[in-house]
Amino acid sequence: MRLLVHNLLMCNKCDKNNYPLKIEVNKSVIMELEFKKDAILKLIPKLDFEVLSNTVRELGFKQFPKQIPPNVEQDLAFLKDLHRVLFETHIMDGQLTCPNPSCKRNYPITNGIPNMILTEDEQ
Amino acid sequence: MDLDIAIDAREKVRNPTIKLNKKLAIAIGTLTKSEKKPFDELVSQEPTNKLIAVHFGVGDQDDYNTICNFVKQFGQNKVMIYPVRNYAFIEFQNIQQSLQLIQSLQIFENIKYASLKYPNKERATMFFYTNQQELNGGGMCDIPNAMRQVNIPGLYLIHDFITPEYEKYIMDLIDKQEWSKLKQRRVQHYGYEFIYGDNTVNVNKPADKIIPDFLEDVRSKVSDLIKPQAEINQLTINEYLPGMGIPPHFDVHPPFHEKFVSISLLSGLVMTFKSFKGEEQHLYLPPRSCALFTGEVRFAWFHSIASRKIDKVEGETHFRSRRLSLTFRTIRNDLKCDCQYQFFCESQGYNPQTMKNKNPLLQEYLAKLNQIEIQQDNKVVPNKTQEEIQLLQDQQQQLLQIPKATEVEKKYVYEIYEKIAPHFSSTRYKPWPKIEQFLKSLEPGSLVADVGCGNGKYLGSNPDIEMIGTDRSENLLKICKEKSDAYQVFSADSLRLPLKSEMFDAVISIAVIHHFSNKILRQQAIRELLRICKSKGLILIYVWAMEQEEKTFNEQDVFVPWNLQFKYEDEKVINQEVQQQFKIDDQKKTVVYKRYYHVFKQGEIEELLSEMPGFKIVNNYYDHANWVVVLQKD
Repeated sequence: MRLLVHNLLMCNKCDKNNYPLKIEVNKSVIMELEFKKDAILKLIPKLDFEVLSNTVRELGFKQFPKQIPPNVEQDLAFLKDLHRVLFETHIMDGQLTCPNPSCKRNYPITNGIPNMILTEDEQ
Repeated sequence: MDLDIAIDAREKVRNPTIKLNKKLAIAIGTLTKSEKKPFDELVSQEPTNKLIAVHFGVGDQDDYNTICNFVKQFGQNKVMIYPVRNYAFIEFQNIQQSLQLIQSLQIFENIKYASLKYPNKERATMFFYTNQQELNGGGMCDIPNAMRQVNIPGLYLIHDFITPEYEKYIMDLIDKQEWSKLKQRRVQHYGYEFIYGDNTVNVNKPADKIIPDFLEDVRSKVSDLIKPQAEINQLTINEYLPGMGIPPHFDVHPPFHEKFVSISLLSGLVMTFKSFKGEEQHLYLPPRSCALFTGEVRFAWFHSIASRKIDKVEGETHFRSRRLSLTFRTIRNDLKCDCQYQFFCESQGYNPQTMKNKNPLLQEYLAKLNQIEIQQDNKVVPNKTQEEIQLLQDQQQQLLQIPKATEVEKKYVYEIYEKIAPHFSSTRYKPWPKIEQFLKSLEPGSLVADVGCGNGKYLGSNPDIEMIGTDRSENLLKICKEKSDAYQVFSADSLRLPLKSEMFDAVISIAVIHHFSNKILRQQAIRELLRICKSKGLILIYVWAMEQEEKTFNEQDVFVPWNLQFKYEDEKVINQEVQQQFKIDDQKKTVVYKRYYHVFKQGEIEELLSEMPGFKIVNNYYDHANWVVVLQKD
């Protein structure tokens, strides 16, 4: 699972305060991918950047900016960082947790695949 | 000769850069001549993940090793080298890696090269990007590409069956024994002498020598492997030098017992297997591995080794060197075999003398098999059983306060896909062109969801869009990940997607909606597709058509049989050790699972949609036995 997916996922067991899910990482890998500036620029407006930034910083990349830098198209250093966190970082093992204190449902990530299926009584 | 010109000529010899220009000319010359293509077609100006390396050597193991050593520092790759050709073909996993290699090179004018230390001499090696999928390499492209793993019924390959130390120990002792000479190879026989040509032994005539004591460890390890079959009592050692092979054959049924093994020593090579139906597979047997032959592969497949000095293994050149094979067999006392492959069984009517070229038993068997297949692949979908009718009725009566999956989806869709995932995936490898076309028509950078992505055959259709796949079946998702680590998938219920609303530029739903057993669920699934899609985004929906030619339906709610081949099934199910609701077809060697479908009549999907708000239908058509609609969200 990449952080792009995390940016889209929510908990379905509850319907309030169910986004963004908290991430716990046991194992992550970097898989290198060709840097395509255009592709990443197109993706930026589709993201909840605040959520992405908070997640990235919580995971230890403290220098990652809180907001999209002003001259983003020229900011190659930022774009490369973003490329790394969005496209190249894969969470292979860990779990996602619903942020709603009255829910806190855990969703395991195994072999890079989050399991979001609810049990019969949770639906 | 004019003095000036003479000095100039000497300069040229001394000046290494002039030499490089000459070498480039040689490289272009040999490449174009050998590949029979113009240089412009062979090399790419744009970076790709594939390279041609001109090494100026003879294409031997030394050249191969040196190039492998150099290129491996830039990432995982495959190297093909071609005997008596001065160039090689390298394929990296991605462009980054080949780019890094090229960037590391020395440059003179436009020539990019590295000075590599080959065992005999340091030589400039030039690199070019290429778009070629493979090179001819003087006919190397015609050598079949062998796999390290194959799916052949009854064949098992055990890696590192013996340790390198033990291999060395027994090799020294084997070489001290006496070899008998055949026309092609040298052999040693123990227990009973193997008679080539007839591929049998004389049971009444044990060989002078029994299996030597120094091989006792491996003999007893093999005996354990073949239990409950009686212990190994016959061994043949074959020596294969590069270029040697063995023609297609199978060991006669009696006097040999079912199971036997072949252990490779010193070097690996490729063994070719050909089934009684004619299908061919090539497997690389690595050194110190043990190939166990049982059942179908043992009784009804030919195996052979091509007489070659090199093999091609998963796109890489493999040089053969001296290999010994130890074939351990059990000789049986009774001469009766009760295998199911009568057409190759001498104790059940097969006569190698008269039936080698024309085998009526085999023809009969194939005809029967064919007939079963036609019957099973039945065009006409069976009507529902009483039980199935009851089940559907029970579900309809439930009040659907929250639209969630009923027993029908759980038992006849979710569980079935989980079960048949690998077999299903092996039959669903080819993307349908119209769906690919849809994905390729999307703007670069589009965010796309594939809801019900199955084995992920569309996740890589357009590298310029971001695709995320979801499916209910975890086993199918595992297959997606095996195809590519980069595929983004998660398991979820498509009646309730754990995705934020209005995020995707496009959504596809291929062969999903027809698995829901009532209208409320079908509409709910479509509502979810609409919810996650952005305003003005496109939604592509495929559902199975009732009016198709491929199958004939008498009714719309159907349970379609899926014949799961035994090789994909748990042995406990086949042997009926576990309780389950599905039929076992011993003749065809399948377990018959059934999947629920609601097949759509022409216009039905549009009618279903007409009751829902928030979009317009921008296209509809028929494709591959499916009714298709394209929606655009308001």
